Amino acid sequence: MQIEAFHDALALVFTVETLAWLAIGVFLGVGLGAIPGLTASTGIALMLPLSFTLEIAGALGLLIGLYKGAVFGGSISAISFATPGAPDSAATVYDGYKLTKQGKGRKAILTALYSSVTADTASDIVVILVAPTIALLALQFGPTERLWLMVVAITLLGTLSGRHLAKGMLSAGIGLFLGTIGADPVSNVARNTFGQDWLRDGIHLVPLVIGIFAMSQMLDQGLELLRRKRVPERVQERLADLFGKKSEGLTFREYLSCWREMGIGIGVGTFVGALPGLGATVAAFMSYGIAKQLFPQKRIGEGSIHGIAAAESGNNATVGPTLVPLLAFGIPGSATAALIGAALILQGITPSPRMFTLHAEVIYALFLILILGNFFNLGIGRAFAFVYARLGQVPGEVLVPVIMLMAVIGAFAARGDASDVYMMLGLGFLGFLMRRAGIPEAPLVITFLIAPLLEENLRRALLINRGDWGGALFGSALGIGLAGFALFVILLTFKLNVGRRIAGIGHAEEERPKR
Amino acid sequence: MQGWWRSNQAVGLYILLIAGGLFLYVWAQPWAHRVMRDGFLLGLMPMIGLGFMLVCGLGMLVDPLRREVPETLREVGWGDVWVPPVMLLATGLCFWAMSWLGFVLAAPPFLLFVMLWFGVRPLRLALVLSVAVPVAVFAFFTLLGVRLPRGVLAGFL
Repeated sequence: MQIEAFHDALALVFTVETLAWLAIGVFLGVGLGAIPGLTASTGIALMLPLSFTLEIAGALGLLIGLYKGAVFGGSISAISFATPGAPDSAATVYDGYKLTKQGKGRKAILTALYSSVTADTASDIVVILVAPTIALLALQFGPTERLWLMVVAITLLGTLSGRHLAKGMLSAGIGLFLGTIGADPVSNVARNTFGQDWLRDGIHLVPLVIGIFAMSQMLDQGLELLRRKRVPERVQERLADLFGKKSEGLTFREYLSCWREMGIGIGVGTFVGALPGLGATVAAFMSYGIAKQLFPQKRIGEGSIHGIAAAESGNNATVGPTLVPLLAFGIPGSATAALIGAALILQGITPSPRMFTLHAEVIYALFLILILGNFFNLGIGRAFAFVYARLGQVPGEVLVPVIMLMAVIGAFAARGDASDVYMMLGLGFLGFLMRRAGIPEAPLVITFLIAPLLEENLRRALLINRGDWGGALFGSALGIGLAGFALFVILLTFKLNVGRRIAGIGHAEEERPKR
Repeated sequence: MQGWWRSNQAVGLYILLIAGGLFLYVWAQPWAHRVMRDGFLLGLMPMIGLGFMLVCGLGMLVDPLRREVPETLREVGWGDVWVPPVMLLATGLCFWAMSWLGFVLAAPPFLLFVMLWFGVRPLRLALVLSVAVPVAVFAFFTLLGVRLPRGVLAGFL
């Protein structure tokens, strides 16, 4: 460990400003997660422009805090209204809502909170131990290996992001095309600008992420609002239960009794989180499904705290590991990791294995924030979870226009450029069309981020091999291995319908229990 | 409303047409065939991206899921055609008005219009929210040091 860098990181993190932004991030995140329809990606996309007015540690605190808070926050509305704040918490509905109906909503929310924080902390420790070792390994890679590694990441993302292989890969193709608009990354020559001068600098990241993640979702929700009016069903009586002092809490013995389910969640979540493309929803359902199969005597699915512990530890254990590919290889493995990577880029730090030597203090600060974020999540979640349950009642009719306004401010505030706002609106429409056609958005954003790196490495490999394409692409055994792996993943996905099976994990569980 | 035009195969065809058109456009551009000093073709990466889209579009025409109608397309009606563009237009107009009226004056009419459209009632509530939210947002961003458009109120704010 570089002691000096660690001291610098301590000085960066333990300031009033950083801790305050971390607290604000968690506070906003839990609230955002508790509102059905808003996800961590939407929140981070909206906060991204704000993050680069902050110091690096404050920016990381805000975004990571928001992410951690949002993943837990989703469970609040899942338990209170049987409406998960985000798909990650869908598995929590089965047992959580049943407990609420039994008058044990408080116990359910506390189980979700404690298992989330436990799993998040454990997986963060794994990240801290594993990421530097992988980064050390990645430093040995040349441009050919890096190129194929990116191809593998894009392939995994495209194939595992949804149930339809062609749509996942299509999203990656759109991202690659959009990423080539503007000056090329090596010679700085303008291309693909459709004759528009304002496109010379390319599409800026902030309007892209706000458009694709936030605006498109608001268009979708606005349409939904006009289509049918949602009637909050018996919300008052259930909320009264959460706030009631007589409501049953969670004992330490009960918390400890969930250790097996939390263990499963930590294992599954850490592994799934580190793989590009899968994400927290898959982890939660896998963990829930495994626990249900292994411990039938615990009556998971019938209103058991063990079911909540399995699902919530599964989804929260993905939070830290999702950053592993970003930190170790400079390749984001999920939409949220891409947004955190974007925040680093906007702060002038390119995520890559070299970050561990060039910006060691930032890496240590990030590790500290990952761990500290869990304590903030615990404190803020414990103090406000029952208040946040009310947020689920904020009508979409008010939320949607306010978030649309925030999207405009976010796109404009980033560079003060009006064209960014119009670009954001256009990309919002593209995102809306993709949602309608069932095309996942995450591969687009991640490939957009990777596109310049992909080209740089390809051209570097070509230069090293004096223009010989064979040598540039297949000049090393590892390169050939990675290329083969990418091909194998595509063939396997097509043959076995892997994406469809993964997407089916949640649906199969949804069909089984009856609420 | 069910129909072939909602199926994955139809979506593949739309993609094929759009990506095909873009590919032809890029191919026709002189910059696409320009060879850089390092021997790299400037148009290669955009064409790889479009090629990828074309292959995926073709795949959607013939793959086993081609007859399936995506869940999100099942309920598509005329509202999907005009509501999102109107929402975007209203947002764009709001931003355009911001450049000369300023954020505090341009945001309330936008919020009021969209809230009433979505069904926020009573009118008094919509009015209060549409004024209070922009003022609060403006104050928050000013505190953070982010300068939002001030327009005609520049002298006062």
